[in-house]
Amino acid sequence: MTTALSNSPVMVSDFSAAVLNHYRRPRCAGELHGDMRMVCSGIAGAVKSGVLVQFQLRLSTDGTITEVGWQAYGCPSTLAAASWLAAQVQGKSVSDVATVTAVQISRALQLAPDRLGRAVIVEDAFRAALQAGSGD
Amino acid sequence: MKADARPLYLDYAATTPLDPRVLDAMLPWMRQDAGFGNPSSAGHVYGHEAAAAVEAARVRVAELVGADPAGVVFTSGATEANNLAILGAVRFAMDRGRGRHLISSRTEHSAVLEACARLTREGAEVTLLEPDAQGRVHPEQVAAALRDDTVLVSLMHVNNEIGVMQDIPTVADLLRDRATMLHVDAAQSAGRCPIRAAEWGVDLLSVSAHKLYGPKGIGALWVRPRPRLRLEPLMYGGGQEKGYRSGTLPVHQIVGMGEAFAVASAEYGADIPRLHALREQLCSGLQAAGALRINGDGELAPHILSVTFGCVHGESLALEMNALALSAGSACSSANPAPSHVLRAMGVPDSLALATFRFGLGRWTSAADVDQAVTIVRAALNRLRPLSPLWRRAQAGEDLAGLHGS
Repeated sequence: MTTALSNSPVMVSDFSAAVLNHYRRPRCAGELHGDMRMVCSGIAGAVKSGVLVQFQLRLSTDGTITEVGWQAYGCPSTLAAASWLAAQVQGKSVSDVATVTAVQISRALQLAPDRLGRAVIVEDAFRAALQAGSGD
Repeated sequence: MKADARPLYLDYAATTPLDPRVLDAMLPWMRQDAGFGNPSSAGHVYGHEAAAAVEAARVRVAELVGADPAGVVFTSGATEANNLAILGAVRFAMDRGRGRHLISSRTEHSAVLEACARLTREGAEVTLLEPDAQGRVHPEQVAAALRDDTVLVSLMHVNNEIGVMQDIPTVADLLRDRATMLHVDAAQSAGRCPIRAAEWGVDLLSVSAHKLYGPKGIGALWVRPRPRLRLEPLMYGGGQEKGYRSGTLPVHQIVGMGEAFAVASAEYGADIPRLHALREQLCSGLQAAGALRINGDGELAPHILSVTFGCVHGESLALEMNALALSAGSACSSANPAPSHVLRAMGVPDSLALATFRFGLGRWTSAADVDQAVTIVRAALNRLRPLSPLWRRAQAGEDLAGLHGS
């Protein structure tokens, strides 16, 4: 089968206001620096499948997430999901955020149903970081 | 971008606006008081004047592609011209037991590939040549694929996604002493690259008006007139266009195409160097951003620049660049994007095909437009790349194939 080039551009109207808000002003984006001893990180996804997400969490001794950093290769919904999740968990204790799910992310951002898989990858990356933190 | 501002048009390889001179030439042929005659009406002046206008347009179209006007067959566009050439030539041969094999390439336009696919369902055999990583098909590949029963070789002159030019004169030379016909889809190259159809030995050549500032809905297939080449028509009727294409001729469209091609001939010497300079300006402006690849090398069309951007997802980049009207390497606003068959054939990994954009430059693109485009693209990259976990690796020197897993 042949596929023509697409010149139906990606439109602002394809996304919810919540997605655009986080996509345009991403919270907690970037890598953490400084003392890395209490920083745990997790990664999920693959470039080949169009989404790769990395989370870093700086934990205090009492189990509070004092700082979050994330980086993502992905569509606008993926970037927004990572930003939303980072903002949600920053400042909370690890035990309080253990229940956060992709469905919550998806609802909060009114993601298109076909983007739930992207939110799952974001959740996976965050969980992998939590897991790495709990191992210490 | 202001809410009411329209994006900067850089999609001239998809279509072009009508040149005002073309519109002026067309209008009399749509008025009640003149020019509405049927060119097939041989018995009165209404028909005569319409027929004369059609013949004048035929000459202008033929002149631009270096061909005899007697061979110009007007069609609804290049898609119909490609279908008529491929289905017409192969069906005619197959009906008479004169071969059933044709050769084309994986990077052809859908109008060629789908026509080939149709013929396989009718019993034809199709060899689709694999282009190299730059999208180029080598004449030796054609030579190696030729068989005694090869009816037709169909290759595009300039690829519509990459702008890479195929070596048509060499392929035509290969076929010079054979019964095998050569069809060339010149929809992108007409008026932008030199074409000498007759001199090269091309048998069939497709062109389109709307790619060259003419109206949509009109194109032509040039059919070598001597010795007369036979095609099974796609449409049956009044036998217009020497029986190759029945149907009352759309005089206003044909006049518009003739005017567009005449303007292209007249302005070729000034327009093409200007386009080359704009392309170079765009290319060097973008290249300074790093971590990207310009697709295609060697001989390239002056109006197409295909760029693959590393480290960022194509859909995010497309949203960030929506002040530019471009074409993307895939239909990316779906969860499972389908990369373009051209980029796939060139071995581009899907995640890079998604982040490939075609910039199309044209008659009304200015140097200031190109500067603006470069500014928009670089701002988009500057915002998105720091968010990407791949950007640090790219800065450390990893290449796009490594980052995106070919």
